[in-house]
Amino acid sequence: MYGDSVNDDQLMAEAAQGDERAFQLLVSRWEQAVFGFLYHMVGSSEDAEDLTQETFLRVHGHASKYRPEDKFQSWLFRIAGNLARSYLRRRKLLRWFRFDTDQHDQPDPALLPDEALARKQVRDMVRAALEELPFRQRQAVVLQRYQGLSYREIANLMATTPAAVESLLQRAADRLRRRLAGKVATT
Amino acid sequence: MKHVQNKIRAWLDGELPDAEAATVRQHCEICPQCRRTWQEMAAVWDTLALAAAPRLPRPIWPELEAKLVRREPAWHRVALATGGVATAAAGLLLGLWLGTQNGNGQISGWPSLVEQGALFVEGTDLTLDQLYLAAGAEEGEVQP
Repeated sequence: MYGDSVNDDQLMAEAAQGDERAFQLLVSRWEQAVFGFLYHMVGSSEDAEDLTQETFLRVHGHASKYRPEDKFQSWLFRIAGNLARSYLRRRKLLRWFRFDTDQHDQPDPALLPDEALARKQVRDMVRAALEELPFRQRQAVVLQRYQGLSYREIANLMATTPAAVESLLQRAADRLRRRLAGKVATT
Repeated sequence: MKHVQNKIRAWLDGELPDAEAATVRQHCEICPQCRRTWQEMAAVWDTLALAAAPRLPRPIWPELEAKLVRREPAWHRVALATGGVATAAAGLLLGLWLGTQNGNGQISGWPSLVEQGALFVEGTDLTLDQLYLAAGAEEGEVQP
């Protein structure tokens, strides 16, 4: 049986040998983080859940190709990011062809208590603002703000430099500030 | 002042070494323009923090596990299919062979293993003896 002391690289090595329990532990360790990342990237919890499963299916399928020199978290989020990008392209195309409306989670506001409604409004506002960002800016913001990755880690994951990540974040913040102007309170 | 403005982002993101972070913070306290930039940036980041992702509604493992089973390697599926076809073909051949035996119910030509009832039919608990008896032969007919 595996404990918390077993690191991700060891679990990946065991999973590559066909150890299902090792893979299950990896999934339970990372599923929420991957789901959170995908939720902010695609803006829908249902789609994020499907993509989270697809991410781990890819991880399982490519376990033998994983090299421990690459931090597991970076590798994992790279796969999730690629899936999000493909999904968003497909969605854009589908909307164009079928004139689809937004597929976001939209519970009936009348059913929500005041506090929950206010929270939902903020979440919708942020989601809409994030959606307007170009993919790489959004990816950088989500990884930095919601996943707590450093510039260096994001740069590694996005195959760029820390300075470029800082620049992406700066441009993203400028856009977000304009988009959220009047809706965010400065201290 | 411009060089400090350029560092406010990294400072807010916790990317500056302690000494440099202290310098930027001290400057923002005395410079109204940089303080405003800092406050605007911080407000955007604070708003993002209010929109954390929801929790996964349920662990994904049960569904994932089922998908993994369905996604067995192709060679697995080919091997299983080949095994199934081979078993069916063997059953067919056995049936045909039994059907060509002489009409008085006597059986001849069984290999010795079969005669001893030691050969099990793949995928069942039956020996060929038992299978043959089930097909209508009298007990003892398969014995020498």
